Amino acid sequence: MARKINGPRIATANRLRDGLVVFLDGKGEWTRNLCGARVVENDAAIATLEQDAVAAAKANIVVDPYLIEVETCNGHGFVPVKHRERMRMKGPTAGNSLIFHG
Amino acid sequence: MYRYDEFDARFVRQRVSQFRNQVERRIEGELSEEEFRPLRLMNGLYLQLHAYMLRVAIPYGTLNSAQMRQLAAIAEKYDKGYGHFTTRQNIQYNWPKLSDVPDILDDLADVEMHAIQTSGNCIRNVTADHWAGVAADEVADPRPYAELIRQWSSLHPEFSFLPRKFKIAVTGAAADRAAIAFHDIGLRIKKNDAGETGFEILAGGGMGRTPLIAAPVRDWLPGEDLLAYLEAIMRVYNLHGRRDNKYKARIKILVRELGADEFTRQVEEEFARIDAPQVVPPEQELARISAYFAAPEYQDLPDDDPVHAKAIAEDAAFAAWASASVERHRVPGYAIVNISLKPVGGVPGDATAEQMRAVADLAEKYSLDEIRVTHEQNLVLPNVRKKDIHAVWQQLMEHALASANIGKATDIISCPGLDYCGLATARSIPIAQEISTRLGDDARQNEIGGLKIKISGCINACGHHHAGHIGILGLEKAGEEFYQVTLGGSGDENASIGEIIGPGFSGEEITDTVETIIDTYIGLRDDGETFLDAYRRIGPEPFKEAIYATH
Repeated sequence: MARKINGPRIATANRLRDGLVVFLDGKGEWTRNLCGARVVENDAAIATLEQDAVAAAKANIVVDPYLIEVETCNGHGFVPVKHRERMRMKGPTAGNSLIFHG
Repeated sequence: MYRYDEFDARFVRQRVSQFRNQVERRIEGELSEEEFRPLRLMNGLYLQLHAYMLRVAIPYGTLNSAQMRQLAAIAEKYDKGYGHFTTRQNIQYNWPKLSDVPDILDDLADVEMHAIQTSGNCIRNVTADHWAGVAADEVADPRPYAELIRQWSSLHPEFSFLPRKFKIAVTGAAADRAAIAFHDIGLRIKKNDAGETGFEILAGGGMGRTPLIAAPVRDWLPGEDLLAYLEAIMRVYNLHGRRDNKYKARIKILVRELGADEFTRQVEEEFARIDAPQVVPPEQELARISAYFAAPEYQDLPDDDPVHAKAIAEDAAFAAWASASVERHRVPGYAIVNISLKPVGGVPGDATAEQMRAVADLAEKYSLDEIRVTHEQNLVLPNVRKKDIHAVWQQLMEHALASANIGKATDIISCPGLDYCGLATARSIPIAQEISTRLGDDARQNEIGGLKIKISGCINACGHHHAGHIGILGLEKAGEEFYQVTLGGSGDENASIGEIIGPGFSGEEITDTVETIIDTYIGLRDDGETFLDAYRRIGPEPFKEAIYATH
C-alpha cells in the first residue's frame, strides 16, 4: 500500500469478483468512474483514504488497493498523473475488446 | 493426438473441483488475496491491468475441432467473444469473472484441456514445431516427446517451486520453427548413423531483460535418457538458481555465470548419479503415448493434383495466398495450410468465436480433425488434401482468415502490451496495427519479401522482439511511450539477438522509422537477398545513417 507520491490523490484497486478497475468514492463505495472518486490532499484525509481502501481489501471487495496521484484536466475533473494509471482508467485503446462488449 | 486416460481425466476434474472450492472461499473471505494468489496462478489466472486474464494451455500447440469449438464457446459465454493466441501456443481470455473461472475450467475439462502450469515458477506448457508430424523436413515427430515431458513435468513435486518459470521447446527438424535457442531448454531430435533417435540439448536460452542464446550442452543424447537428463538439468538449476534475485533467477543467468562448460559438467555429474531406471518411463508407456501420434490414415494420392494446379493457374488471388500460406507436406497429395491471424491493420493473434468455429469446421472437414497454434500467433491446418485447398481458401475468405501474409512484413508478432497487460510499459497492439496498415499493400509486401517484425510492450519480451529481424520494444519515460528498435534478431536455427540501433522513437515516429529501415534494405540488398541476410552482410551502420540522418 505504501507508495511515496505527491499532490492530490485517489484510491484505486481491482474489484474482487470481476477484476475490473475501480475507484473509491466519497460515500465509501467503489465506482468504475474516476469522476466519482474521492480526491484528497491533506495528510489526515490521505490517511483515512488509505485506511478505507485497506479495509475494503480486507472485506474482500477489492484486490490490491493503492493510492495514485491525480491532476486537474483543463480545470475539469482529475486524471491520473502516471501513464500506466491513465491507461487503467481509460481501458484498452485497441483490440477486439473495443468491438465485442459483453 | 493425445487423449486423456482415466488418470488424466480424474486429475484434471479434481483440480477444477479444488479450484472451485478455493474461489468460493476467496469470494467469501476465507482466503486472503495473499493466500489465493499462488492458487489462482497455478490455474493460469492472472489479475491484469483491467481485469482477470485466464491463460489456457494448448500442449505443443495441438488442438482438435471439438477443442477449438469449446474455446469459441468459452469466448462467447464467459468473455467478449474472442480469444488471443500467444507466442507460447496458448490462448488467453482477457475478461473472465473470477466467479466464472471454475465453470470455464470445467468446460475445458470436457474437451481434455486445462490451465494448469500456464503460470508460476514451474515447467510451463511445452512448445513444439507447429508442423510436427507433417513437415517434409522432419527427422521425427516431436509431439510424443513433448507429451512425455508434459506428463513428467505436471505437478512434479521436485520442480513445482523452481527459482523462476521454466520453458522447454522441442523440434524434430533441422529447420527450427520452435525457437529452441531462446528457451530454458531446447531439444532437437536427431538420428544417428544407426538410425537411432536421440537429442541435441541446448540450455540457458531466453529473452526478457537479459536475452541469451542457449548453450549447447549435449550434441547427442540417446532418446531413452531424455527424462533422466532433463531431471539432471533441472536439479542443477533448482540447486543453484538465484532465488534471492528475481532478475537473476532464470537458468540462462546460471549458465552464463557458471559458464557453459562448468554447467555441463555439473549436469553430467548429476546425470551419472541419477538412478535412470527410476526416471525412464516403461516401454509400454512410451508406446502408449506414441500410438496417439501415429500418422492418420492418409489416402494414397499423387503429389500433383490437377484440381489444385488448375485453381493456381486460373485464380491469381488464390495463387498469391497459396504461395504464402501453403507448405509442403511429407505425404504426397497433402499440404500444410497456414492460417494468418494477422489481417492488415488487425490485432495479431486474436480470433473471434466465429472464426474459431470456422477453423474447427475446416479442420473437421478437410484436415483430419487437426489444428495447430504457432508461436508466431497463427493457426495451421496440417493435413489438407491438395485438391481441397481452394475450397479451404474460399471458406477462409468468408471469415476474414485468408490474409496472404504468412512470413511477410505484416505477419507481426505482438504481445498484448499496455492495452491489457499489467507488466507492460507501453502499448504494442496499436503500433502493430499502424505498421501493418502502412505496409499492408500486397505489392509492397511482396517487394519487401520475408520479414519478421516483433513487438513487445515491455522488457519481458513476450512479443519476442529480441528475435525479430526488426524488433520493437515499448518503454515509458516521463509519461510518454517510446520505442527502441533492434535489428538482426532471429529465432530460427541460426538464432541471433537483435542489436539496439540507437535512441528510441515516439509512437508517432516508429512506423516511419520501420519504413525507413525497410527502404534502406531494399536500396542495398543484393538480388534475392532477404532482410536478415542483408543486415548480416552490411551491418547496422547504413540503417543508423538512414534513420538518424533525418531525426
